[in-house]
Amino acid sequence: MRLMKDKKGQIRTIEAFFAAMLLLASLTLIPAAQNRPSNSSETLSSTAQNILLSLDGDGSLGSLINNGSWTELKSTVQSAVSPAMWFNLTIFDENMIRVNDTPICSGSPVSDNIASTDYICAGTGSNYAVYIVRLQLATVD
Amino acid sequence: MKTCQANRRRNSGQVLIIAALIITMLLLSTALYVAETEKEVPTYNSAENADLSAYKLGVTHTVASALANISNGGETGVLVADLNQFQSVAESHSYEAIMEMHFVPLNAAPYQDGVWIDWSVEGRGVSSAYVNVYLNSTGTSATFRSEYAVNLTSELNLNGVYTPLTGSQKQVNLTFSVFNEGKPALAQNFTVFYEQDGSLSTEEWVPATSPTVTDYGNGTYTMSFTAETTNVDDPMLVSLYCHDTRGILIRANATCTLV
Repeated sequence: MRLMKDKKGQIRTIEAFFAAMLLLASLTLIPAAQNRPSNSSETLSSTAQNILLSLDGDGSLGSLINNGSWTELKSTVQSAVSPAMWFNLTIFDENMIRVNDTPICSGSPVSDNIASTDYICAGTGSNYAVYIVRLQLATVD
Repeated sequence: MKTCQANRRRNSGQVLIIAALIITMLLLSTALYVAETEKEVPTYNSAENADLSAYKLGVTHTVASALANISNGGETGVLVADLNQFQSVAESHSYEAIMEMHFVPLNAAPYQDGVWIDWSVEGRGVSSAYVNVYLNSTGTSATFRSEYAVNLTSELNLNGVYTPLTGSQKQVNLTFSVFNEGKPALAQNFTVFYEQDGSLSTEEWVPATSPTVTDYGNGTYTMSFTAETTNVDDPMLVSLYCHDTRGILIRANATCTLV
């Protein structure tokens, strides 16, 4: 009888411990679920920024824009972007007037969650010009 | 005595529950403490650093473009004008942070207004630009500051030998190397001239016809061509014009050695 009473206390302790663990688990899971959408958008923006940085590293982005080589620019971006991603590249001059006369994109957007990054690109060569390159990225949800 | 024992037995369960509660509180407070400590850890914000890298890259390209313009005959003031243009666009299009930029072209020998072009040294030509840059980006979450120098130097080293052929004809062999910031670099194109009477008092530079060029792929090139001077004994003076891959023009003059 005495042993049973002692065990009752221990079981309550274990119950309390499990309840505490459940509380802790729910507390850790809720913020993770809340942060997910914004992280995805941030990742896409960061990816877009890194793609433009790597293309501009050797000045090829500026020279492709200077030469108006839109087809070549499209294939260059396409090779840098994951095949599951949609992209749209728009080039503006310093007065925000669109420079590319043909669309540089990969079809229709695959998601409503589109991340956009503006990048300032200085042209190379003796004919100097500054462009604002806007890269929009979307990925399948 | 019996009542006391019974009370103790009844209380033992309660004590255990209280102990369990204390353990739970300890666990919770530890978890909260860890969570709060994590919040205070400075996080590496790659996006904002990437912005700063983009501006730095933009400034470097701007200086390269200005140097290409100046070395090809443009005014020295192009450097400041281009940097101001870049600054204006960068400052007006930084939406997430207030961007501040300052440029100071170096004005210490051998640089003047941030530019140093010296093509007069025997066997060597230099086209260089030097600008001190100050960048400050103040955002809602972080502030970045950077002070650095952009020094772009294109250099051409040239030496040559010649062998007399029949009459006043000479077989000229040149070896030259291109450097960007002291490292071997590739050339975009080059043109070679030789002085017809071997005297600089009356400069009569003649372009070499059909030179044979060998590219070693490491910034070193050899070139050979046949030249015809006015007299048999005229020294062989050559002048090499070279555009590097950035479009910067470098020129080097050399007096070839007779072999």
